[in-house]
Amino acid sequence: MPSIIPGYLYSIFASLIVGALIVASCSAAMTHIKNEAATQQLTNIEKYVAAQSLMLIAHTTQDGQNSTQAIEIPSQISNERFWIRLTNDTSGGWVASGFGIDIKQNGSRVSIPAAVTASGIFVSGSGRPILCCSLQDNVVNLVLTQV
Amino acid sequence: MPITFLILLVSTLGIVSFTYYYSVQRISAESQVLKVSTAKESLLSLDNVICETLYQPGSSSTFEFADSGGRIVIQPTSNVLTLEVNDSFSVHETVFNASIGQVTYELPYSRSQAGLYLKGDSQSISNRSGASISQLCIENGDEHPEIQLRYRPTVSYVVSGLEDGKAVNNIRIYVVNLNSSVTLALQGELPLKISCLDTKLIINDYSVGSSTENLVITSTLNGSVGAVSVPISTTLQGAAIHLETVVCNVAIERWLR
Repeated sequence: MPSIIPGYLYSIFASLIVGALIVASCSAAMTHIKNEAATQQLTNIEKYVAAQSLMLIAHTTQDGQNSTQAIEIPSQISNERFWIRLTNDTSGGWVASGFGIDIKQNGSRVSIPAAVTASGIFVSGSGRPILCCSLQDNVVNLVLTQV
Repeated sequence: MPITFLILLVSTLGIVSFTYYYSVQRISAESQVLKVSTAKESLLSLDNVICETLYQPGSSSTFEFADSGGRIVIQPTSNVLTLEVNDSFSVHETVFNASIGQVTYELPYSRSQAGLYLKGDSQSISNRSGASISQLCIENGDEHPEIQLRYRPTVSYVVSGLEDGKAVNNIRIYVVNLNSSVTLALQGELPLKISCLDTKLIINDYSVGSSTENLVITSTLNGSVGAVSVPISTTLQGAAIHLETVVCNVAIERWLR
């Protein structure tokens, strides 16, 4: 009898540990799938903003007129707020984004294949993003604002 | 043998009970998140339907409001809007003062994202092109968080020629008034009918001197104060300001099929 009880106890503890491991790995896998989907959606938004930017740049350079475009994007992705930033360096401009409301330098990015001066930040959860494109001294200025 | 059986039975019951409780908690939490999401989507869709009927008297749409576990409350007599114009010299007048109503969805859950705007922002008046007329936000209610849908005034202006030597400034303030709606507070699925009853024009004309540079329009919407400044074009004789307040009366009522 004394040798049987510890044997069963060991089995139960082993089962509990194995069960906990299975639950934890399933939860981790589910979280990973959700995060992947959210990241993919944010990347799609980046690409959409980059495409709209290119369209505005084309209009502005062809017509020589300032143009403005409201961007229709959701206020949250997977119940999380996000930010979008337009920046440029000497090689060109790009759209950067990330989750949360704190703007970070290491967010993902999609380049805008055009010579452009790009600036502006949009933080979701208040207002609507607007892209304004203007031509000054043969330099295309692209600004992302929030109204 | 009976002791071994007892240990096995109690242990198995314990594990099964814990697993059941944990699973129910997780599913319940996910279900709440899902229902809050459906409530947000329903109100966004309702806003779209309302916007489709605006400024088209006689037009109407129907909308099936989905059940998200909460309660939809239509309050035609809440959300008081006061509009004042002021040029710092001779003009100082209240051009609109009435309740314009709002739609609220009371969420039955304690989790909230209070302060989040699903559409629009916190400014109680806007004159920027592209800005949303709707304010769809999550606020903390008396008991539970709630999603509120209301409409803020928007301003447009244009300078159009001369009138008796004075520059003519046409300013329009657009107001969406839900005051003609039926008071409702119901749970479950709710078919709604949204009708644009009419569009009324309140005209105020002002004659100002050449020193006037701006006309400030101050909006007090549900206690929140905001202002926009409209530049006034003048000549040596001054300026004529034609201020039109365009009020679109929209009724939301239960749709009886």
